[in-house]
Amino acid sequence: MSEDKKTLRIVVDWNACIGQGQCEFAAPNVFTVNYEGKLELNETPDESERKAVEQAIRRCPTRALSLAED
Amino acid sequence: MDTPFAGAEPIDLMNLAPFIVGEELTLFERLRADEPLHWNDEPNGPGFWSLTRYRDIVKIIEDPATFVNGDGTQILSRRVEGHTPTVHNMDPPRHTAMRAVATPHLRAIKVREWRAIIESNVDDILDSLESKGSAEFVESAAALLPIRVLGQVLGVPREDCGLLLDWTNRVVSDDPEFMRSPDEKATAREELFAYFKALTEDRRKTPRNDLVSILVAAKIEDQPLSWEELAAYYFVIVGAGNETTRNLLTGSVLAFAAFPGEWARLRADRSLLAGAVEELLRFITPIRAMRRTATRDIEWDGRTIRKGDKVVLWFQSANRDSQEFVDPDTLKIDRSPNDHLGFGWGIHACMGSHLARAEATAFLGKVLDRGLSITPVAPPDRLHTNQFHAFKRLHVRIARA
Repeated sequence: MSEDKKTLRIVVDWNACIGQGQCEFAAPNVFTVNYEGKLELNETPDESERKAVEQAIRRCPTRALSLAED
Repeated sequence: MDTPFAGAEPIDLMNLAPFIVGEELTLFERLRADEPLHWNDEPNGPGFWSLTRYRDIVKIIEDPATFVNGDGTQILSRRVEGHTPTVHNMDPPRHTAMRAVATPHLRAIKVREWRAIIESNVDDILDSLESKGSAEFVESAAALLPIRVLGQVLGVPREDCGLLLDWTNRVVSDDPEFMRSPDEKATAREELFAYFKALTEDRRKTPRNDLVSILVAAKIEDQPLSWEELAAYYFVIVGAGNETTRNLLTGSVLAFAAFPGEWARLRADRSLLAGAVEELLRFITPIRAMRRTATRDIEWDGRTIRKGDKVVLWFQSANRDSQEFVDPDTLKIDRSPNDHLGFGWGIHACMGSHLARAEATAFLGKVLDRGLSITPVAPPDRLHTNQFHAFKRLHVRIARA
């Protein structure tokens, strides 16, 4: 019996993202703001990142992040 | 304006007395409970609305098309930076482009590169505090760290950092202690601009790895920033880097003095430090308020916010709203969730937040490393302002615990 290896799926509203990087602070393994100030992310991080990702979503000052409902 | 609560003394948030003695929270509590949309007359201005509940404030901030920054963010109807607006007194699309110039250089991974600089400054400050045994904390620690770090980030030589501090003191508030003449703000502004003009010309010729060089080289739609735009940028970075973290540090000493059990918990478990810094940001709220201006008539709580009205968002009150935070007046270093408004919110959220966190984390971390206790020996002197939660002086005793 193997447990389903669940992953998260993050959705970015690119019109809202301003590269502020509060997500980067909350979930450094998932989000990085690059040298051009643009957000780079692992859109499907491991379930173990869930708490950090949820915090990043809440802390985004422009509400640019969400989790896809599967 | 009508006063809906006959019998109760009307609340006037332009009266600085409660802010100076540190009793403003009781006023905010009354407003949140009884009059979450509050009209405040102003002796030499049009008056303003105040919002004090967390949910209301977030709602306004998330509607930057209706509630704009371009008419100023100070409670008073003025922009201290002069004619050319700073990035926080601007609206999209220009705001978005201007902000994108500096944001990549203030982001978290960049700030980690500065950690060594921050830590060596902290060591220097703590060496000096320890050797003195007692000190005035603002002058000898809280003001020094941000200004030295900021100096290095901007590219201002260390010997000139005192100038940055002096300009900030003279432009951010009307505290009589810093107002040497009626046109003190304009004078300080001109001094700051003249200084940075020379620095700009120097970096244009010989770029370095600093923020002034980056701003000088930046282009928006292929156009470099004008001198006026650069000057406004320097102005906001100097002010915002200064009148904020120093108050977070001083406020932290006061907060842990009021909640010594929380300091003991942090000493016992250093993994709580990151959360503790967030909680201090909530508890202290170095910037108490920012202002917006309505661009159309809005119905709110059965009243009308008219086009052109000023709307003041009291972050300090939001951060103590019991509808959002359990036991809001208690410092809990492991508070979770903690979606505080200590850095504001929305498209204008603090650009220097990563730097501020890094400075506070390094400072508290090294105080813990050294096993120091920093204890207030008298109440603080607060800056005479309602907009900043700011301290002029705090006398402390420093000892190895």
